[in-house]
Amino acid sequence: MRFRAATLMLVAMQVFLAAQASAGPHDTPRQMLERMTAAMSQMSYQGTFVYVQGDVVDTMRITHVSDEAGVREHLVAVSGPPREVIRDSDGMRWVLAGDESVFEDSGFNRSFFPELPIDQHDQTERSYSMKRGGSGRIAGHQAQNLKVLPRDEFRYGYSLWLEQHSGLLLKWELIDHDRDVLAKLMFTDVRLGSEVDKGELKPASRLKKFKTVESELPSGRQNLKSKPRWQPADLPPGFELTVHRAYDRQDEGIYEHMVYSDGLAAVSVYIESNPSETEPTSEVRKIGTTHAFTRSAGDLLITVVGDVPAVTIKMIGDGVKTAAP
Amino acid sequence: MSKETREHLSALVDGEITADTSRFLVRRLGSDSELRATWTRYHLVRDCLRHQDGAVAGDDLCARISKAIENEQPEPHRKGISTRWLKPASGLAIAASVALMAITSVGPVGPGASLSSGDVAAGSPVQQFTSPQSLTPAPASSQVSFSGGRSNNDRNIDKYLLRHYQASGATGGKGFVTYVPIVITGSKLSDGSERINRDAEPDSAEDEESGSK
Repeated sequence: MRFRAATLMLVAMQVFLAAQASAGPHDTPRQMLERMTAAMSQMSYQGTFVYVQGDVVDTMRITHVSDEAGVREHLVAVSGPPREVIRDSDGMRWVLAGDESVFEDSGFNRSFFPELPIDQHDQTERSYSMKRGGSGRIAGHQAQNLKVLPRDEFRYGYSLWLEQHSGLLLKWELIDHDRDVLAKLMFTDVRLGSEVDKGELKPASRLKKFKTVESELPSGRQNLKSKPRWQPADLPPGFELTVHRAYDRQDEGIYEHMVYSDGLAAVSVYIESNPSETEPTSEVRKIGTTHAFTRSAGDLLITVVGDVPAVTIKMIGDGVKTAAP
Repeated sequence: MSKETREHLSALVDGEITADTSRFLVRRLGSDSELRATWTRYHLVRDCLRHQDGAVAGDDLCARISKAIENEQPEPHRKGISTRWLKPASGLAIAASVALMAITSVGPVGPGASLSSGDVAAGSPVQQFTSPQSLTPAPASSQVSFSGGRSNNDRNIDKYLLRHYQASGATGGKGFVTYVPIVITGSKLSDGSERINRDAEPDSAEDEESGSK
C-alpha cells in the first residue's frame, strides 16, 4: 500500500510538472521562478557544470534523483582537491577527501531538501525587480533568461537561464547592486529524467575509512512561536524571521539561531555563550560569495553568516541586542 | 599530442610544474600548432564562461567546444577520484583551468589572433603565439594544498556555514547551487578567507532600475 501511495504521488508529481511545463512563453517572472523551484527539487537530472568566481574556476558534477526512494543528491568537484556534498534522508555530509574526513551536522532535523517558497512574503518583489530576458541554447537545451535584480545594496541579484520546458536551472549568475557579475555557473552537459545514471549517487570517496567530524553546534528546537531573546536592531528592507531555534540549558550555556530571509536571500544569526576568553576580530570575512561576521557582547558570541553583501552582514551583526520584552 | 605533453599540461594546471618545464612548454606553444590549437580551444572555453550577456552564439559555441574536448583522450585519474564518469569532466576542468591561466597570466589574444569556431574545431594552425614572460603555473583552482591548509578560523566558521545552509535550505529555489560554495570553500579558500576592510564597504550606488520595474 505504501508503495502504491508513493507511486500515486510520483504520478501526481509528474502531472504537476507537466502542467508546469505546459505553461507557455508568457509565464510571468514569478511563475518562472516557481517552475524553477519545482524542477530543481522534484526532477531527476545530472550534469557537469563549471563554476567561475573571480580567478577561481571549478568543475563539478551534480546528480539529483527524485523517485520512489525519495530525493537524493550528490555534488562532487571533479577538478582540484576531492570534495563532495551528499544529501539524502540521512541528512547532509560534507566530504573532504584531502583531510579524509566527513563533516556532518545532524543537529538540524528538518525534512530533507527544505525549500522555502519563493514568495514566502510579499516583500520579494519589493526587494527585487524581475524581468524576462532573451532566449538561447545552453548545454544543448533551449533556455529562457530571467533577471532578478536587487533594488538596493543589501542583497545580490541573479541572471537565471532556465530550460524552456521544465524550468531547470542551466546557467546562474550572481550579480551585485552595480550589475557586476560576482560568480557564475553553467552546465556544459545535462541529462534529464530516465537518462540519469543513478550509480553516480554513490560517493566517490571511501567514506568508511574517513574520520567523521560532528558539528559542535547544538540542535536546538524549532521555535517560531516565541520571540527570539536577541534580535537585530535594524534589518534591511524585506527581511523577515523565517527560522528560530533555541537551546538553553543552564549548565550548558545558551544557543539561539535565527534565519532572516527576503524570500531569495537568507542570513543566519547565531547567539551563543562564549566559552573562549579570546576576543573575536569583529571583521567581516569573505568566504567565496558568503560573508561572515563575529563579535562578542558581554559573555555572548554573535555570529552572522549569509550569501549577502558585506554591508548587510555588518549592519545586522552590529545591531544585535536583547529583544524588548 | 603525446601523453607526456598532456601530463605537462595537467601539471601546469595543477600548479605542480617546475619553472623549467613551464618555460619549455611556453616555448613549445610558440612552435607547436597542435598544442597551440588546443590551448586556443581552452581559451575559447574560458571566453564562453566569461561572456557577460549570455549570447546565444556563445553558448552554442560552448557546447561545440565541450564536445570537441570530450573527443580528446581523457586525463589519467588523480588519486582519490576513481569513478569512470569523471573522465570527460576532467578534460573540461583542465580546459577551464588552462584557459583561466591563459587569461590571467598571459593576457588576452590580440584581435589579429582571433579565430572562428570552425577553425578551432578543425584544429587548424593559429597565428603565432608570443611567449609570455610571466606564465606562472599557479592557477587559482589548484594553488592551495588541501591537506592541512585550513586555518582554525576557517574550521571554526565551517560549522556556521553548514548549519546556515541547512537552516535556510535552498532559499530562492536554486537547489544544489546553494551548496556549491561549500565545495568551493573546501579548497580555494582554505588557506584563509579574505578579510573585508571596514572602510572598504561598498558604496551605496545608484540603482537606475530601482523601482522602475
